[in-house]
Amino acid sequence: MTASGSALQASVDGARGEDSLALPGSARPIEIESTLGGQVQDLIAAGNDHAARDLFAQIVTRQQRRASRIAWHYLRDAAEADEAVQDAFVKAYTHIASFQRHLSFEVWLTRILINGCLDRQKARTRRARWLLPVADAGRRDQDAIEHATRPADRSPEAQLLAREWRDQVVAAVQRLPDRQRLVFMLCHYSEHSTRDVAEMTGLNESTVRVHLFRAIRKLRKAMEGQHHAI
Amino acid sequence: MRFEDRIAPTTGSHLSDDQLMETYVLAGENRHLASCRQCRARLDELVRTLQHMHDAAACEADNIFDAERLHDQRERIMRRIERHDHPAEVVAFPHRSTNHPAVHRLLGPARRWVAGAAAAGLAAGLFLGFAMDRRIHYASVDHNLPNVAVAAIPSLQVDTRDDLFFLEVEAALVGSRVREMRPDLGAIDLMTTPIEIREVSYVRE
Repeated sequence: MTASGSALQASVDGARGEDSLALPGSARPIEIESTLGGQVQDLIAAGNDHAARDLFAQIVTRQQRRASRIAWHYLRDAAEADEAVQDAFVKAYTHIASFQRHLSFEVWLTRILINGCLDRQKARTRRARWLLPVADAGRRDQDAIEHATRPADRSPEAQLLAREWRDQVVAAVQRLPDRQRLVFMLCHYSEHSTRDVAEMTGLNESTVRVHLFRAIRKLRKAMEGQHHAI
Repeated sequence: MRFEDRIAPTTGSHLSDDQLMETYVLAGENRHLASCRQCRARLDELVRTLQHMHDAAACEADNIFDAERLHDQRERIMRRIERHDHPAEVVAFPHRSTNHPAVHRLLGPARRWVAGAAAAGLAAGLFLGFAMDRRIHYASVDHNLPNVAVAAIPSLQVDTRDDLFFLEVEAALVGSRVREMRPDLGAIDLMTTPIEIREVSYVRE
């Protein structure tokens, strides 16, 4: 955590639970993935591929949920997000020699993932320009979410409100400009600090903050008057 | 403008919305927040809203990527990585046999010459074969050129019994009783059906 003020910290901590968001400006502690990544490098250099794969499997286990969330929020298509995550991990393994140990493995992996997602999004735009739209896979995913997140003890009215609220959040986030959306998702959905996001996106940290600020302002305006129905 | 100045209350005694958000984004210290309960409540509300959004987003993604799906994903990733470490072996063709070193030793450096000679022999054999086949084909075509149009001789329909009879006659003529039969040739002529050959046309195909 960087020099965040105690007053603000006290205020913010009160509103946050155990599994809470990191402050946007806060730095991440040294992660175990970076150590594991370095060990994988050593094992591959020693020609012990089997052990390297076993160790890399640990990294996959630790990081895949977070990576899947990012890819899903970016692409809004489960199959494509799944493939993007796979590609990112495979690419990370095959290019592990270029990983710098003193940097964060998570940031490095996320950067690979985002680049992959961007490529997929461009390809999707090209496809949409030339081809007729196929069945709405995203809608099917949404139906699956609806089915899975429907609590039995909630009244139909509450369920409807929750659904509407979620739809509005998703729509509002989707309406954000690309960079603001990316920065917001990485900071808030993936819980990265602005410094990490700056490393991932190649933007200046102050630019990241400006994008984040503008994204929050737009979302706040879009969600004005809406109750938290979740 | 310094951060402290920017997020200090400018109008009235409270922070504006933008100042609140800036405080949140920059995670900076703000003395006003420590003293103003109202602004702290507003910041709490902002943080809560964002927390709800985060929870909703995480819940949404986790329902898509449940434990089973993540397990499958991990399996596929590890399979792909393993394939990368052990790529499919490309089999050389023609396969270079290493099972018979004696053959290699025997042929030694002449192996290429032997292979070349075999290939040349094969090519020459093929060429000659084609040439011979073509010559035979042309010869047979020339032989069959005067093709009689059978339809033009309707009276030449021959019975098989007649064939047998003529065969017997031929055998008799070349046989020992030729002389004996010669005076009776006129009688034989009388016995056979007179054939009148009107016209024979040759049609070249």
